[in-house]
Amino acid sequence: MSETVAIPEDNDSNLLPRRSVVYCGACGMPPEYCPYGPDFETHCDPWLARHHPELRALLAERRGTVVTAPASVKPTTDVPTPARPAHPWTTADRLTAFYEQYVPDKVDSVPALLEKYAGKEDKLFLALTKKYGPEPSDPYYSDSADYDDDEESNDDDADDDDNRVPADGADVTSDSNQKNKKRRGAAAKKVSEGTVATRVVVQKISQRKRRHLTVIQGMETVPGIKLKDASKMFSKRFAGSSSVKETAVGTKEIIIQGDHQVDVAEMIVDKFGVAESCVFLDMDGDVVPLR
Amino acid sequence: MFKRFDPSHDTSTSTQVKASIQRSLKSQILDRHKSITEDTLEVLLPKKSPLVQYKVGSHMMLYCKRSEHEDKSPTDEPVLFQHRDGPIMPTLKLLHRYPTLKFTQVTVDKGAIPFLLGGANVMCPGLTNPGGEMPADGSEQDEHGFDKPGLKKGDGVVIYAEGKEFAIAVGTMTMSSLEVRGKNKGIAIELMHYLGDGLYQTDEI
Repeated sequence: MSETVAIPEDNDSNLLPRRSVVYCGACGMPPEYCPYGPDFETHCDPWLARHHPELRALLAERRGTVVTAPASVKPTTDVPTPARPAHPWTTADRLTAFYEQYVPDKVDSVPALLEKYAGKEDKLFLALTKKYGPEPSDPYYSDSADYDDDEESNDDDADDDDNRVPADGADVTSDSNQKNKKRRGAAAKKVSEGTVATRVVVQKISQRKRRHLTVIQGMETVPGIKLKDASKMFSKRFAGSSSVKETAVGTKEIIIQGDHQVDVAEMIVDKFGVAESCVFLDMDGDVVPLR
Repeated sequence: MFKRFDPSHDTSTSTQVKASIQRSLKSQILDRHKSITEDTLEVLLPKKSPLVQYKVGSHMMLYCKRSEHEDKSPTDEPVLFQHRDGPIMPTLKLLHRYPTLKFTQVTVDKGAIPFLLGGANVMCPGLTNPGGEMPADGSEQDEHGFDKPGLKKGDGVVIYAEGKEFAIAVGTMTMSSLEVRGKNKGIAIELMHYLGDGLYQTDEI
């Protein structure tokens, strides 16, 4: 088809001309397939606009859409329009609106920021809200009934980031409500499961004379942890076998060979970031808090 | 087949391909894909630099081009693969790089693109709808005077998408093109390798 997409390279033969192919820096696909990916608006399109603007125009033309300036550069001075816009904000819109409210001089740096924080937008907005204050709300959501300012202010904490494990069980339940709101696109697929309060019980079971097992119950209530991975970490740390078993009740438990009751409890606190108040030791039938 | 391919886990032994085996590889490709000439294939896979063969799983062979580096150990770039005794097919990165290299090809209509990118097999309507394309049947006759299908069952094909420049996937026909046109239902091509799968993401081993 058209040669404009790929730049011809030095041919190693007339028989078999070789060309260098442009692959999207964000998703790795040929750019013509980018719109099918989940992060086209947030990652691919900005990347393309920055590195291959002529290619971007060409592809947009082929798709039959009107070529506009990158959404991030577009001046959107009339921010809070009373009419509800047709679609929710993209990340670029959200960031632009933020800068327009607090530091209008810096609006130009929005594309660069987006590039820098691609994939880490949550952190960017968290830092921004800390520095400047609550971010402006998206007019698309403005008339939904349960959307108020109070939620907006700490909304960034609720944004999903699996590495940051909420420390307390109670914390999780209060956040889960807001969690479902801001997500769009690929992130929307991740469903929060944190409605159960975190409670981990470590138990020691004696088998024969000096043989023991350490059983961890309730590990699945810790958000952001896969039981299998956790089990593997335990087996590495304690140099013994470790497995995930389903109990009769339907919950799951991790069984580790050897007597590591206290060590395991401490490891759960240190490595997995579970609050000490959520970890319990089972001492011959008495459940006692770790500390 | 390569959906969760990860070279560090899934490849086992690597061996240099014997010259005689490389010759038979080439003749197989020439045999299956009529529009490739011997000369172009010779440029693509020169006799002088032998291929390196990796075992993937139990029945998959991955043929790679080795490139030497001064400061580090040689790296291998996947170029061809073969499942059991199936057709020998090229990787998508290779196809993208050599636009004139024409393996037997089909085109699917626009609607099939998102499914293919998820790794789904190609269903018949994807090839027969307007926008889809297959080699015509009946250009040749067999010894009994019947039309030969343009594509036989088991043929390896490179899949292009309507309105797109780059190949989107590689697969094997699960029925002949005659049947596809006749039945127009069910799986027509079993997908082996597509944009975004593990093999596609592997630049070198």
